[in-house]
Amino acid sequence: MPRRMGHDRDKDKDRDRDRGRRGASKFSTPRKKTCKFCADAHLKLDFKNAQQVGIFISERGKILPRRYTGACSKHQRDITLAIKRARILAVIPFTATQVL
Amino acid sequence: MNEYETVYILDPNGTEADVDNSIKKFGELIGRHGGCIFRTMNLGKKSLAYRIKKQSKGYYVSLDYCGDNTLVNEVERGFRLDEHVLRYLTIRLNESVDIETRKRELVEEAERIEKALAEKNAAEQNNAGGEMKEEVRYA
Ligand SMILES: [Zn+2]
Repeated sequence: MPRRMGHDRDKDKDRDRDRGRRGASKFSTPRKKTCKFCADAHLKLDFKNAQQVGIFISERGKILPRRYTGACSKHQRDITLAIKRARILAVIPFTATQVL
Repeated sequence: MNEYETVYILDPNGTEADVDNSIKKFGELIGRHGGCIFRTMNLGKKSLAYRIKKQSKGYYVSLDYCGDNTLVNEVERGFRLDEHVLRYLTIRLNESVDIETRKRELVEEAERIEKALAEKNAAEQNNAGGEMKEEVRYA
């Protein structure tokens, strides 16, 4: 591997820092990192409730990943299960292309 | 004895009386095969996310009961034979439940939800939102 020149390395560093800053401002909306199902033990996910399950799917009807739902792995599994049940009962669509 | 919840969707062309009759019918079916109904819920007429049997609406009904796994076969057979049922889904809620304790738990849970709802309503007096119409009966 050819050794990089000093100024190149500096430029890389600058670019990394810039990218980091830009990235941070791009996603700077305050996101909850806590799992709301862990926070409230009485909160139960009901697959019959369209409003409740609907917040965990994207516009295209896909299941949102944990980085959006903020759920822990256990409750993310619960969310996934509830969504799949809700789809069977036509509470939420399988896909956005299902025409009425 | 396991505890099961069956949610099914009824034909939207029927009336509320038809829904009640259907609940009664499946309640009897469950009772005949050695099951015990905990609660039945008429969740009302809702629009479906996609069409089922050319219908875009349906009555959602939920049955909460306990029984053996053979009971589920019988109940689901009943759903398949009933042409007014658009879709059904049975899930197991608990394994090896005791009927009396579970009944008590459900009543307590309902009381808690009622209390929480009352508190919520008191908090947002002016915000009279369209609450979901639910009919809950306890066996
Ligand atoms: Zn959690």
